[in-house]
Amino acid sequence: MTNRFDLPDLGVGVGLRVPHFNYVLEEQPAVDWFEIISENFMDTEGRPMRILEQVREHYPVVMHGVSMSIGSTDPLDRDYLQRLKRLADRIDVAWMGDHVCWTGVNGSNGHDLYPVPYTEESLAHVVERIRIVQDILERPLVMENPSTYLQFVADSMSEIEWIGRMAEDADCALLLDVNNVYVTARNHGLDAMEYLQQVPWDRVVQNHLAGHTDHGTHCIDTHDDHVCDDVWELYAWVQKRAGGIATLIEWDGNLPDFPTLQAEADKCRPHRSFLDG
Amino acid sequence: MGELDRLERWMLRVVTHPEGVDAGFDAARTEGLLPEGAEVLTDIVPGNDRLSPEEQLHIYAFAYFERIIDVLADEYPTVQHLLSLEHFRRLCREFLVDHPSEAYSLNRVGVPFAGWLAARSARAAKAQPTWSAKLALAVDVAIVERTMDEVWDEPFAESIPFERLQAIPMEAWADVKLETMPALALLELAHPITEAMNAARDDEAIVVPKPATTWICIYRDDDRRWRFELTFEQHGLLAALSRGETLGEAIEAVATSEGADVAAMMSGLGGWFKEWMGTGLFASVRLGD
Repeated sequence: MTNRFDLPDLGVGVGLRVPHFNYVLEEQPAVDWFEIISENFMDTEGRPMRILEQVREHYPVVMHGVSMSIGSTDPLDRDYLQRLKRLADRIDVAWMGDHVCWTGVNGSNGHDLYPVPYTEESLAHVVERIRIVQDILERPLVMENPSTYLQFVADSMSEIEWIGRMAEDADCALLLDVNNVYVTARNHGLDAMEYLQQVPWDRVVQNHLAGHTDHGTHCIDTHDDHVCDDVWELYAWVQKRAGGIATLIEWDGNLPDFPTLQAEADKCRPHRSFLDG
Repeated sequence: MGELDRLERWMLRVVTHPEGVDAGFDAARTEGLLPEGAEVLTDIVPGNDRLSPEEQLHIYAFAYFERIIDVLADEYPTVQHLLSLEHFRRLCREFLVDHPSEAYSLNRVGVPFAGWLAARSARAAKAQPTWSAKLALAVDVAIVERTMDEVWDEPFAESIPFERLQAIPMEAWADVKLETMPALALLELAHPITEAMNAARDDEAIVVPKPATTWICIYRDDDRRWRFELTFEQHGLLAALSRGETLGEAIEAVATSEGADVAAMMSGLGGWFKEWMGTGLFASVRLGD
């Protein structure tokens, strides 16, 4: 199954992080692609950009942002969007995206991925903004489901129903973070499989996998450990259901050396072996 | 104001309040930020059988301060070492309350930190002179650490060797323009900072030095960053050249500065430029207009 945007299954990638810069350039490790945090590269002409340009010579690169704040009621930051576009054009990225969330309001930024209430009002607001952003960026936006730690009384539909309608109405692509599905399901007493069965698969162009911290009463999406067995199980189902989706291992806290990160990424491959034939 | 806007303003107020979620909720009520019809927290966030609404909001509130303070700790490791972990993190919380982030990038949150520390040091001057002196040194250290970060983001340029300057006839040197590297910064500080920064690097206690005007050059040559002290005259020369003045104009500017040691400058010039060009401080040399 291919996605409706004809974006390729890039294989298995990892995030490009500063402590790994030299290793990646010197060893050119056998990962299929890299994802960058957009904000770490869009305001620099210095060393990070030089590294990125060299990496891009050997690997596809995807941009993943954390600051678009698509759910915020503040005006869209046009300067930020133009900077994003300039970077995307310069690096010739495979695709770019951000999160279903808001990060601040009234001019202040909390630098977190805050949950959007799943209401008709927020849906219309976000759909309109995604359309504007896609016009500015001149490419489809790839929106990621968040990990959330609370729900609102005002919610009038489930997260996946809201995201499905958002994707349909805004005609955007989706990044399905399987760990986020697990964390959100655990935190709100939901059934992760039920969530996955409602995903509009023809819009999903990328998966994320990551480790989280299980506090018993709740889970936090910490990106600081190996992917847990339950998430691998969900991921195996997702890959078979979708027929192969580009996958990225996110690891930010307690960042291991590159070979350990690469080994974690390689654990994806058996779950994608049906693609080999 | 729509419901979405009201809900977002309410939540940001609650999770960024320095005294926690309950105090944030009370502040939001006082400020008229509660969503329409809400009287108590459970009217907005239902919670569940494992976590109360307060506990769920606390996850975001905790992350707000921790995430940003961790970034500041990464940017200002010597300041943290100087002030101690506990004091540094407490000051960072105060800083965040005074300077809620308006930047889209976490990398920019710490930009006003040195200026804020300076004001904080001035406020403490009478009541806590020892603490104030430490904060005053922290201001200079913060300026250096911020600058060390910023030179990463300046574009790279190939440096020119000393031979390029030597190839120009000496009688034309006064009209020469030497362009400094883009990733070069010149600082004038109120304290010597080298020993403090070396002590932090070696995980040793920092002795607060007496204030003394100090001049520093920071630059990057691809993937390495360098920091070294300058004399008043050296700083003046490099500053004038980086403003686009000719070598003759730069020398004249320094020579006419109050307190300049003109004889030392004139005897040191050749060696200084040989050293600076050897370390790659200049991107181009050309004769003036």
